[in-house]
Amino acid sequence: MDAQHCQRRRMLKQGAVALVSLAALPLAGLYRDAAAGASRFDLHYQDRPKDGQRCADCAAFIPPADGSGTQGACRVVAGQIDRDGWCMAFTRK
Amino acid sequence: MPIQQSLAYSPARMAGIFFLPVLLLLMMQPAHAVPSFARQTKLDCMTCHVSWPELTPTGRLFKLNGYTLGEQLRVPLAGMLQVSRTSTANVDPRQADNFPKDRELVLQQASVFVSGKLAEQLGIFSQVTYDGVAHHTSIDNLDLRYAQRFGESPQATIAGVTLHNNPMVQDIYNTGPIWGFPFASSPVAPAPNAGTVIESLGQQVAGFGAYALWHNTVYAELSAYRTADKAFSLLRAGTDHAGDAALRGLNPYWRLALQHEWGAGMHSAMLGTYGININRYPDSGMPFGAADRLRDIGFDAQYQYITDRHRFSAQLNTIRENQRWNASSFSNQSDVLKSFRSKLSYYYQKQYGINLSYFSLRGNGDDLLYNTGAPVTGSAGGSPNSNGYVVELNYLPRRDIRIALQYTGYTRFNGAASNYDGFGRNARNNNTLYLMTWLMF
Repeated sequence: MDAQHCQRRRMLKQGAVALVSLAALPLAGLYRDAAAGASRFDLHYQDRPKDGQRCADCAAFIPPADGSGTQGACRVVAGQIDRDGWCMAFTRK
Repeated sequence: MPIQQSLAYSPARMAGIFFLPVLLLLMMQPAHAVPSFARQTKLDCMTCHVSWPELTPTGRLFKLNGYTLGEQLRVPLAGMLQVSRTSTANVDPRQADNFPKDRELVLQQASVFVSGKLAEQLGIFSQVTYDGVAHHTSIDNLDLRYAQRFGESPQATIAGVTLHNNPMVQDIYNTGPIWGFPFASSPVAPAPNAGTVIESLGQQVAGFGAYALWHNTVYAELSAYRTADKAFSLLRAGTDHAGDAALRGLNPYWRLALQHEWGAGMHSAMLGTYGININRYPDSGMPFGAADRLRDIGFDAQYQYITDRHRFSAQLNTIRENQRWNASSFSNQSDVLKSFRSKLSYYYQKQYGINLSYFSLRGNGDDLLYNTGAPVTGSAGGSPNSNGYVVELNYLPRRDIRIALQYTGYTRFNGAASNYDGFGRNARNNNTLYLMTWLMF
């Protein structure tokens, strides 16, 4: 009985540590800077085409809502994305 | 006397291996790699994979970001089928139990994946697998992640936490035992009797960890493992618990890697190290008292060159395991086991590929540990020493179909090149030709 009790206590303790760790990320003040999508730097994004490949032809590119303009968005890369940009996740439509 | 059998396939069998799964797939929706991930990101499978399952830098970022890039799917389901045929060079009819389904067409694995983005920062890779040899269904690999990116380029840091059920299934490189080559191998051919603990705990443990990639350069992870029982039993659902490992308390794992990409991601390289310290009870039915201590330290390296036309990658991995038998009774109080594996790959047009690999297992002899006295699987010298090579040809008629022809050759098996089991069997008798069709949908 004592062994079971100890085991339950240990499990609760471990669960609590896991939950606190999850919660600690935003509490640590880091959440303010958290961003959705992958970093442009990490994906080697550039504002110009590469070897004839450009974001406008990529399956992940989301064109600007009004259909005009050069700045759209991306399902993968964070921030505004230039139609004529490129990154290493380029996938032709 | 063992009977030497031909490695030739009958035309009917060949047709079955190649065309039946292809016909099945043609009736399905086009898909890629873990196809729910591809549907989520809209990316081609070969954007995240050199050739699946080996990850490119983009694939590693997708995993580090918690499988959350892209748009959340309503139903993040995918499937996998592996159909294969194995021909072992020498099948001894007196030991038929050691060669189940040799030269038979087998449904090696059928898997259903629930894999994709679950919330803004939460994602999962999970797999339930039907084993067509054992005729059994159970949970396979699982990796649940919560990840966030902090800061903006180029100082961005990606950090996250993971809950998983297999040491190194959470790793992002293709060097270690879980995601390293060979990515699929025969489920029925004889295999060396020794293996490190880090590759033997899949679907038996619960792992909790935290990781970070700093400036796209330094990758670090700390995790801990415990027996996947009680509240964590879902992580080993359907497995044979009697054979599962029972661990004492929390067992630490660490990982450190330096990575660099250049040429707009065309080249990438990594140097890394990792380790795990496991305290395992010798009898999983009696998880108390003294436990054996198994400590692995690994060093690994990887290089990838990726273009649309040519893809080349190289991996090295070495593990040293110190085994201290505090609870088990073997010939020695402690043993050492060293594992080494190298692999080179080349793919042309993402369609035609060749993989070459050399592997070795070396360690000190321990009669009680390795000399089981069994033919085929035993070691008369009580040795874990095995080495050999793998040559694998790949053809991908579509992104989601792989046909692989793999030859595994042994120059030493369980301690010797000849008569290794004491019953006259030679290492080369276990050479294996393996033909497999692998479908993702």
